[in-house]
Amino acid sequence: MQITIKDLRATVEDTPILNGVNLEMNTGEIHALMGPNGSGKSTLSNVILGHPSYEVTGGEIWVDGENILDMEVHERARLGLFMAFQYPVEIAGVTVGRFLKRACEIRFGEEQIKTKEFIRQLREMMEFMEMDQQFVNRYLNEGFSGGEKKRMEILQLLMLKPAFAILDETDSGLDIDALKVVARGVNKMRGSEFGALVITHYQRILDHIEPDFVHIMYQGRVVTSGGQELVDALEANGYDWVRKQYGIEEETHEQSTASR
Amino acid sequence: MAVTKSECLDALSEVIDPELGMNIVDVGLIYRVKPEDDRVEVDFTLTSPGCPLAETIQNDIKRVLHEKTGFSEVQANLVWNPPWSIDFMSEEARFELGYPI
Repeated sequence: MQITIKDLRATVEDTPILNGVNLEMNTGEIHALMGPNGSGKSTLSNVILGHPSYEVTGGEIWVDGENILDMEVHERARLGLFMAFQYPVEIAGVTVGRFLKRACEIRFGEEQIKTKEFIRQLREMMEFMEMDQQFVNRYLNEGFSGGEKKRMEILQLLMLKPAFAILDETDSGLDIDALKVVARGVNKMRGSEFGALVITHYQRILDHIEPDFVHIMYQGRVVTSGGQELVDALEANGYDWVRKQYGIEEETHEQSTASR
Repeated sequence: MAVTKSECLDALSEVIDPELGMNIVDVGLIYRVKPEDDRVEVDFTLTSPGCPLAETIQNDIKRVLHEKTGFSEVQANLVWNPPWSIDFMSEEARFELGYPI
């Protein structure tokens, strides 16, 4: 899968958040997207998947030569796009097992999913994610701890095997052990048939998921791209360094001051 | 060549409990299968006493065992002990019907 984002602009409630994002990503590649709070990282992931609260005001998103901006969320998902939510939703009444089986049936075709084999695979992946087997019977995310919800997102990833996954701050709120398990899940998927965009604030998850490309977002744009050295520079110098390095004016700060 | 117990179970798994829409082996209705020379004896139960499907299921059991395995004599005994419970279902059956696994 090839994803090409061209000059993407988007607003939330008339506030511009994305101000011309350009990005190219392919299966076989792991991309990291870093940036300060409010720089537009989550908005970008929501817009790629088609969240209805965001209005695209310009630009294009191409997936394998097809502009996906007019597609519904489920149509994008069926192309093989996946998103691990920053705040996974609880769905009472739907068990983890039944939810994943139905999702797999839709993704791979009903005739491809045999219950016995599905359960075997699900149990294997849960073990891999160090999840209690009883989660199969629990309602999706209901009463799960923060860490359990994030593991659940990665379990979905492992079962659905998307072509390209966006992980929206999957690492936030995780202790180091849970972080390693999440990273292990992503690394298990790694290969020529899988790509990911890992959105994060922190370096530490990137120590476990080594990205092929690193992008830094600032004020709704990708201001620079590179490799691991960018992560190190950020960690050492903070986002102020990005601002100075790339000559970005503190417009948001001035704006907020002016409006007071 | 003697027909094995597992071949009998394979044949029996074509009998569907119409109430649950699932085969009687996975539902756990087959308590005993004893193939012997050219005859086979099966003990089966139903999910609840007074189930009106007793005869249908009994006939289906006889039919598939005749057809699939070639036994000349099939004896299918309806038994009530032990009473059937959800625990007798296979994991797949419980999962499909929304029970915990």
